[in-house]
Amino acid sequence: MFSWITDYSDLVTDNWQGYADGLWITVQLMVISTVAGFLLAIPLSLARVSSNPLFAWPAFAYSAAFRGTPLLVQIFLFYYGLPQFDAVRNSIFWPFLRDAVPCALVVLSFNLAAYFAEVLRGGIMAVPEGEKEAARSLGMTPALTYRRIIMPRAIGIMLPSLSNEVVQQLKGTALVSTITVLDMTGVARRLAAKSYTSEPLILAGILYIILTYLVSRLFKVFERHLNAYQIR
Amino acid sequence: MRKLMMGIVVAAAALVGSQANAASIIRIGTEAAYAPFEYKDDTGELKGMEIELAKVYCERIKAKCEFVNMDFDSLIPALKAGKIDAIISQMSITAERAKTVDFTHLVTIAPTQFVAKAGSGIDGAKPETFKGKTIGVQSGTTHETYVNQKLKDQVTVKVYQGLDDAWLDLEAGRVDIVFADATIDYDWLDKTGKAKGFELAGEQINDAEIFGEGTGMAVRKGEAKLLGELNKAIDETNKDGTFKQINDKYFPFNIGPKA
Repeated sequence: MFSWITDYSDLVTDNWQGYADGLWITVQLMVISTVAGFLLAIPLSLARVSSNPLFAWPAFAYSAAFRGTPLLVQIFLFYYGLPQFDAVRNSIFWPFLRDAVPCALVVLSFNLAAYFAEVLRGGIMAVPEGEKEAARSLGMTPALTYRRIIMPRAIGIMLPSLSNEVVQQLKGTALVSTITVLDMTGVARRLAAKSYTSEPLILAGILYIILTYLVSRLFKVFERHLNAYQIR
Repeated sequence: MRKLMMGIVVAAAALVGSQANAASIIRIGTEAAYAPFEYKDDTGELKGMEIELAKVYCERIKAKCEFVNMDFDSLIPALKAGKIDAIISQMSITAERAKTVDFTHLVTIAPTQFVAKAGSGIDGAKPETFKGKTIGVQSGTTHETYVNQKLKDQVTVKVYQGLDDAWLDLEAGRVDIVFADATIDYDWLDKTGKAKGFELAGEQINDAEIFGEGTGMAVRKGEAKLLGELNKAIDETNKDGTFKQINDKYFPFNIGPKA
C-alpha cells in the first residue's frame, strides 16, 4: 500500500545528483534570462511609449514577433533552424551558438524581454500624471524624471505582474529539454524513459512548485521594499 | 461519499469493459519519425515497412488496427497505461524491457552502427577513437543504454527525443557521431548524409546483452491471446514470402530474422 513511498525515496537516493544538476541548470536559466530580459525590457518599454515612430515601431514589431509565436517554435528555429545557414556556422558567434545552453539563454531572454516590456509600458502609463508634473515643476529634465520618478514607480506598480512573468518563465525553461539541455525536466524525462514510470516527472513537478513558491516569496520582499508606502 | 466513489469505479470499469469488447480494434503505438520503418509522408499519411507489416498482421488476425503516433520513450508507458494495445516501432527485444512488456517473435534483426564524417576513424572496437567526441542518440533506445554503459568515459552524450533532430545536429557539427540502427543510418546516408560527407564508421556493433537478438512487437504483460495471434501472423508472414516482398521494397539487404 505504501510502496509508493519507497519508490520515491529510492528515486531520490539513486538520482539526487542528477536532480541537483538539473535543478541548478533550471535555476540558472531562470535567473540569467530574467536579469537579461529585464535589462533589455527597459529600453524596449521606453521605445514602446516613445512618440517617435522610429523607436516605437521597431519595438512594437519586436514585441509582436516574440509574443505572437510559441516559445517552443522560437527555441526550435533558433537552435535547429539557424545552423542550416552556412553563414551562421562560419560566423564568430558559432562557438557560442553551437552549445544548447547559450541558445536557450538567448531565446529565453529575448522572449521574456518582450513580455516584460509590455508590462513596464503599462506601468509607465499608470504612473499618476501629478507625479510627473511634480518632477517637471522641480526642474527635472525628462531623462532625470524617467530615471528617478517614472521607472521606479512603474516597476513598483507592476511588480506583481513582473513576478507572474518570472513564474511563467520558470515553467518556460522546461522547453529547453527539447534541445538536449539536461534541465530538471530533461533529467526527469531521462529517468522516466529509463524506468517506464511517471514518478520522476511527478518529483520534478514538486520541485517546480517549491521553486515557484520561492520566487513569489522573493518578489514579496521586493514589493515591501519598492512599495513601502503602501504596506498594509 | 464511499458509495459515490464505488459508483464511479463501477461505471469506469463498465466503460473499460465495453471498450475491451469492441476491441477487435487494436491500437498500435509507433514513433513515426523513423524512416523507412514508420514515418509520415508529405501529406501526413503514415507509411513505412513496419506499417505495411503491421497491416498484414492485422489482416491475418482479422482485427481492425489503428496507429497511434508518439515519442519512442512514451511507447512503453502508454502501453502500460492502456492507451495503446501493441507497439511496433523497431523496438529491440531486451531482457530489461521484457520485465515490463511481453514481446512477440522477432520481426526484424536490427544491427547497429555509428555514423560520422568520412575518415573520422571512429571504430566501435577501439574506445580510444571516441575520446573527446560528442555522440547523439535517441531517448529510451538501446543505443542510449549502450553509450551510457560502454562509452561514458570517452564521450559527451546528447539525448534527442527524435532521431531527426540528432541528424540535424550532426549536420550542424554539434555532435560528431550519431549512433542508431544500421538500417536507419543507411536510409539517412542515402537520402542526405552521403552528399554531405558522412559515412558509416567502424563495424556493426553486436552486443546481444544490450541490443537483444532483434526487434519485435510488444504487448501488455499477460495478454496471451493477442500475443499468440500476433506470433502466428508474424511466422506466417515470414514463411510465405510476404515479409521478403515488403523487405525488398525498402532495403537491398534482408533484415528478416534468420530462419
